[in-house]
Amino acid sequence: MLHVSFKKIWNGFTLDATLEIPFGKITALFGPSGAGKSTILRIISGLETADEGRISYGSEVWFDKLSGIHLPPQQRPVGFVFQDFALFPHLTVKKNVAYGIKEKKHAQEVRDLISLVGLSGYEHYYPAQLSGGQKQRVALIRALARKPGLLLMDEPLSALDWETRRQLQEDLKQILRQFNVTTIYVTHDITEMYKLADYVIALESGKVMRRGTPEEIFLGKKLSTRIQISGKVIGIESDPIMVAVTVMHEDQYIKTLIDAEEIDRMDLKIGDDVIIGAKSSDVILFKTLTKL
Amino acid sequence: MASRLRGTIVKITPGQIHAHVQILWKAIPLSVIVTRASCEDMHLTAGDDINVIIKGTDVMLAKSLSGLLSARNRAKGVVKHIVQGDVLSKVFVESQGDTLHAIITNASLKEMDIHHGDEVTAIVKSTELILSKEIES
Repeated sequence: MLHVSFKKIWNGFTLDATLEIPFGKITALFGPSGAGKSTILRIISGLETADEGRISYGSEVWFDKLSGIHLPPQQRPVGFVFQDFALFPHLTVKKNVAYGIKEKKHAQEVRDLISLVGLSGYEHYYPAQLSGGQKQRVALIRALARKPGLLLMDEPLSALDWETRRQLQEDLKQILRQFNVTTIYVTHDITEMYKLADYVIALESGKVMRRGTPEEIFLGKKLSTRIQISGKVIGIESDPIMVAVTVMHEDQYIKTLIDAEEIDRMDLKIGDDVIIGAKSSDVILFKTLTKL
Repeated sequence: MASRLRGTIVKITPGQIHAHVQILWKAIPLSVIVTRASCEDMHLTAGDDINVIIKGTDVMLAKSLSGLLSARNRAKGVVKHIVQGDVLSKVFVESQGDTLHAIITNASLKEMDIHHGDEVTAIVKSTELILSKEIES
């Protein structure tokens, strides 16, 4: 378990957080811009210092204000993946991945990692020659090559288009599970959080508001519906009996018909985040004539 | 509004893929089919209190019901209120002290001559019911 408890005040903003991050799981820090999510990552990694508090990783103490312990960032086993990729532009894919580890000794590992994210054949490309999705794959395996005890990901997919993002979400989930790496994932996207996170810590204005599984945080209940699709309400067409509610899920519009009173009971408005629930037996499948 | 009934799980019969959950709501037995995976994820156990959600569009109404019918969930009640739209109507049925909502076509409402105070039976198939369990904090 990574235990983080600290306070930091700057420009009149107080960040006061206590977090417990389980090993081997993906914990999402979820909240609006300005909630303090990125600063928490910077404090955990040692790039910024808290005014008071303590950070411990298992039995290792990384920071303790009272005992004057402050492990420098390079001594913390932390991998960082940023929104803007932060690759070295003058180094090839292979050199980027191998940066900071002994390239000759780990040549096979580097090859395996590059192949794992489908970039075999791109070893000698430079970042400028890659797409956004490919760059972020390189950033991910560069972080994993160092075998970090803790992987910090700061909105890693938010600069990408929807399709790349969806594909990378699937790949990320699989790769992080495979490496069993303790991950803190910052996002303000509910769908991404629902898809990736084992646990969620919801932050607002520098404070932890709620913590739990995605279901606990967003619904407060467990449902028997196997189909649960998260999205945002973008349209409500009223009717006295059945209201047409359009929900945007990633780049798709899903039109639902909801009992009018249900809309009033929930006080549902445009912009609200929702979960669409449906029973597995309530759908119909059509096989396509050609491959999609 | 979707009807929300509070009941107690009496028995669970798991199959390979599905699970048959029998619930007692007031004096009426309810039969619910969920996936076995849902049953396990929700840690459903006999004796648990459970919320049963029924969408108004999944409720059928019958008057003077007779003969055999495969739908397992039936509740007799009295029509308390009707809201008519341009194509659909919502019928509020009081049963066992709770209110069930049925959304039916105006054509059915007219053909069945459903009015305030009528005795009707609300019918739902087992596969249509949704279960919801509060997370204990």
